[in-house]
Amino acid sequence: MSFFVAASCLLLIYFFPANNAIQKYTAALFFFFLLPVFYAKIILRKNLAAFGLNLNNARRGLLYGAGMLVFLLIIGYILTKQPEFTNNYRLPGAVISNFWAFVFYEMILVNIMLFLQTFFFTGFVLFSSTKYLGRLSILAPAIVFSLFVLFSTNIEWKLAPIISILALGGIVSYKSRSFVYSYLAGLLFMFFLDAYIIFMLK
Amino acid sequence: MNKIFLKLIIFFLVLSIASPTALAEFDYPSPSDAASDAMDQASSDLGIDNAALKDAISTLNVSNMKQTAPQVSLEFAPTNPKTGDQISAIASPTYFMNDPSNLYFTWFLKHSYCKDASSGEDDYNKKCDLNNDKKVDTEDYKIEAMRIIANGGFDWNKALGKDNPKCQATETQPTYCSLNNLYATSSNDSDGYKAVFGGDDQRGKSTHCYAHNVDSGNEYELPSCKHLFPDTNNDKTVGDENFGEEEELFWRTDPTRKDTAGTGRPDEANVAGLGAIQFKWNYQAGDKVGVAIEGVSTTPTQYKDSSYKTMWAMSKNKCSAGSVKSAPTDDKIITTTVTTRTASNYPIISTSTITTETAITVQKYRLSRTKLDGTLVFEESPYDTATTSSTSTAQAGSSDSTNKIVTTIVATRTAVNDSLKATSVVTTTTTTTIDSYSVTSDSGILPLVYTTTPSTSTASTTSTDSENRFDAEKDAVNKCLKDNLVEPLSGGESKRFDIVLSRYPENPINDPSENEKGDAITINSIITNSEDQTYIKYKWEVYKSYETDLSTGDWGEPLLKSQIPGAGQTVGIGLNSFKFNLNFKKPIPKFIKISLLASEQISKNTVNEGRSDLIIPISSTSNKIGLYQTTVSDSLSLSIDAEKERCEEGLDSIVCPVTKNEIVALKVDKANFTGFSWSFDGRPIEPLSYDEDTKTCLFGECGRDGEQTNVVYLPILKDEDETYEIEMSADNADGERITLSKTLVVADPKINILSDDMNASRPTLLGYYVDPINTNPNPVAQDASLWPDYNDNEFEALPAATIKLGANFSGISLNNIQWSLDGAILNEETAPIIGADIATDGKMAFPATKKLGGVYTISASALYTQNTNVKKFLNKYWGLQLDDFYEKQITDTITIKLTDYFSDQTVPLVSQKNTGGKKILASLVSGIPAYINFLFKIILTSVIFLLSSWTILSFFPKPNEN
Repeated sequence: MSFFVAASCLLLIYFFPANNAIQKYTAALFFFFLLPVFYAKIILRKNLAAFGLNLNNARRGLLYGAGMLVFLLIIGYILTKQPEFTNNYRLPGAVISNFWAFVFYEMILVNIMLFLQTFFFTGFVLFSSTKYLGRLSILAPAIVFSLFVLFSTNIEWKLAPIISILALGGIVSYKSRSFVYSYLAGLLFMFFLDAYIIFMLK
Repeated sequence: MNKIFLKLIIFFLVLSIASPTALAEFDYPSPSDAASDAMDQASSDLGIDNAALKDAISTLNVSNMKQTAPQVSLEFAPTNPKTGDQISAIASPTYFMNDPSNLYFTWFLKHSYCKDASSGEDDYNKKCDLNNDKKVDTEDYKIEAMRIIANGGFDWNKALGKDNPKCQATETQPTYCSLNNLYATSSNDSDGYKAVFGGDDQRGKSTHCYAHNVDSGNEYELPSCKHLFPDTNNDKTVGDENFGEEEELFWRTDPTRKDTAGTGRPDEANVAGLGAIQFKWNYQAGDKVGVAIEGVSTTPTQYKDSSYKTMWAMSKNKCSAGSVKSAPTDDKIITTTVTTRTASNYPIISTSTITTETAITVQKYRLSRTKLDGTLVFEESPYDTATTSSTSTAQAGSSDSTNKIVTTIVATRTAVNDSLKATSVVTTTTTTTIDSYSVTSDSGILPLVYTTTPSTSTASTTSTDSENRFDAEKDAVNKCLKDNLVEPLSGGESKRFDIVLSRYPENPINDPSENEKGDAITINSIITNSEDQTYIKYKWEVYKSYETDLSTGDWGEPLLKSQIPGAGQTVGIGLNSFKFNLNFKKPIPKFIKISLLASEQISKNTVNEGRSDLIIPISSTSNKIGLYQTTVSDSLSLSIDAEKERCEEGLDSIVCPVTKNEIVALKVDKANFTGFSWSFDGRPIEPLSYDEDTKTCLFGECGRDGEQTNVVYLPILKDEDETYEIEMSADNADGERITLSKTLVVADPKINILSDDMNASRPTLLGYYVDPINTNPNPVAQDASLWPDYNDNEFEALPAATIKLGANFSGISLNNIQWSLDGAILNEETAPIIGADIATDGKMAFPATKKLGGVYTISASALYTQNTNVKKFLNKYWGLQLDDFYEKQITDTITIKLTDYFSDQTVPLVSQKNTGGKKILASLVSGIPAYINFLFKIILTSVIFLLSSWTILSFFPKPNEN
């Protein structure tokens, strides 16, 4: 049933018409977060901690999170050397020229969307599939995301950061039983990646 | 697990075939993409064009490399001189801030028999060594030229009197041998001159000298400023305000006159080349001439003072003496690698090992370095030699940890004397590694280190970063001069443009009031001798003067673009006309000068240029000629309809359209003028209302004895497209004679439907067009050259609004307009049926009752003809026959589409800087209904989804997850 819910959420994200940025954020809030949360709380009557929304295993989580960040930074460095990536990666002009716009962009806009997606993939999807897939559920977030993108649109270079975050985030979440650490590592990664790209542009 | 994978595959298959349209449009909201969308949307609400912003930043980042350094072009007259002809070389300096009369022109003249050589060499010609320094070089060529300029034809031989060497001859002696030597007595003619860096008008200002690197576009500050005045090889420095008898003799000037050359400047200023824009000499075959001009460029320095960059322009604008492309910053420690090498016929070995036991000369070089605040940290060490018989070793320099700057004895170079040429090792490389900066050997333009001997030594550095300083000595610029000798006969040299400027109107009027209705003045240029008109670069400058006497020639600095009312682009290719509005506020200038500098790049080193000025006296008044409709009564009395002024705004205010066979009135404010004189096309306008026979006014006002008043009447009798040039001269309150002008053009009568309530309906925005001359007062996306382009026949309106329309009939308001709506003629009977209202002034209003997207088609038509009284009047006073008049039915049709917003409301404006908050708020508020709709749908979908899940699960005894 959880699989059905997750698949439905992705279908809804795909089909539900969102015409502007605020509608896209709202759609992501509902289908990546609120629907899974209500499903877990009302229908399954489970605590959200079971889906990774906890700070348990802090030592292990931080350790794996730090490792994930290191790997992500290496991946990010390699990505920035790829013209296909840098030419297709989007950064608003205001963010490049204004530090406070950059902070707002990273801490609010990127942060919200990253939290919603890591909750859904490395939280809801991963911990829903653990019972059936065991260790293989580590791969679930990246595979489900990649398949969804593959069938719904095109896999582009600009999606490389989120795929990397979900792929490595699966390991961290599985090991720490919490998606929070992978989310934090992902957020720091996005911050450094964008800062480095701005540095390169200037 | 297989079931799960099966479900997955089915899910994605369904997804992929479910909606091809959605598939094509779906864009996954990755964090960076979704966040960028949000930022872009916010930016758009704030009126920021991200693409334009990125472009602006990119341009800004390299803008300092795009500066144009001062340049000069030379023109010769005659262009094909023969030996003995007097030839003039005229320099046209550009991109200097100074007036040419304040620049220093250091001319240098090289005769064919003078070659660069030192004493003892075959080419050395003692006759050319004018400063007796045992070598012939650029300094001697400078002396040759500047002597001619300063001497001005003065017979210095005669001034020598009995001490002239010619008087030593025992045979026939010149007559002056009986005279005393004027140079023997102390010179007290006060002809000294103190030179100032950057030009004579820079006195008292801070000085910072720069050299321009053509390759990189960077400008480098020189560690110290030195004039390029001739080096006399003695202590008689040029420009030191001391010009005694020895210098008088050296420069061959008159010791009894302050201004030997008659230039209006003292002798020493002439030697320094102050204002010497022209150099005349008697041509000899093979002569080459050049000029270096010192002045301040148009680029300011970054120092916190009023200084601009002191720079030099050279006659060929090139320099190949070697350069630094950049230099390290002062707060970073550098790695310096300097390689010295011998001439190319000697072997270069990359170690410092000396393989011979023969005595060699060791020379040490040291770089100097200057901090950004101008403090000289290390001076270049003097040229140092020593003799050793042992192996030479490289020496690293000392480091200065306090200011983190390293001075490096960059090379210990082994040179050889003549006897060792064949076998000596002559290359030494010293590298001092301290920080990440790397300075590697390269070729360039300005040399970092110079040595005078041995001449085979060179050293240069470059780095990969660009900064504003470098180490160089005086010769860095001076050495470039030899590359800038020009042969008067050589083809392809620059020439001077013949520029003709014209203005319109001839007598422009300035309006200092807040109405800002001063004349729009247009300056047109014609260049007759350019290679290709298309690629001429124009630079327009406007100066203003408050002086009544222009003899001082002091126009000060050119006005900034923001100080010129209504000015468009001032610099650009193809900008052959320039337009601005005469709306200067008090104090009002007496004159304005429009200066055009035109240039055309012919080849890499050849630029055709020219400058031309136009000085316009300014009359200032807030008054203007008003154009009014007239009324002819049944008794054929003509009167002005003062309520109906025409052509007050827009393009019509410049050239006002009138229609044939109408009578218009022209009027100025009576209170401000006396002694009126009206004319059209140069002919006086006769006062119509004055009866010569009865000496009375037939109607309206007329002056005593038929004098003209502030109102005249003009019948429009010319054919279509012909114009009337109206002029009115009168004395203002200050007794000043003012001339006002106005242009009328005879146009075909036409009718235009206009919106009478822009909040309810307005024309559709088609886009924007670029007008580089006129400035849009409400700039679009920070670009004041963009103007909105509206569709005259397609309007937009808001649903449920009351649409109000009027019709403009060739500038005349009519009240006999026939309106129709969607094909139905509106009159007193039909209009109320649809709720329309036709006012007595001819305007029409109706409610927009159609749904969003609905379209109305509206027409307005009228019959154009003059009324009977006007016809009679024209017949009586101007003899027009009744069959000269004509009638014409004219119509205009528009469509109005109902829309939820106007097309020009989405355009970001600069003024949003202050209204950005309101705009965002408005944007948010306007988006609320759509968002609430979206929110409702998404909540409903979620609830249905959860209920469905709950319902499905209720059929099962227990959820699997438990």
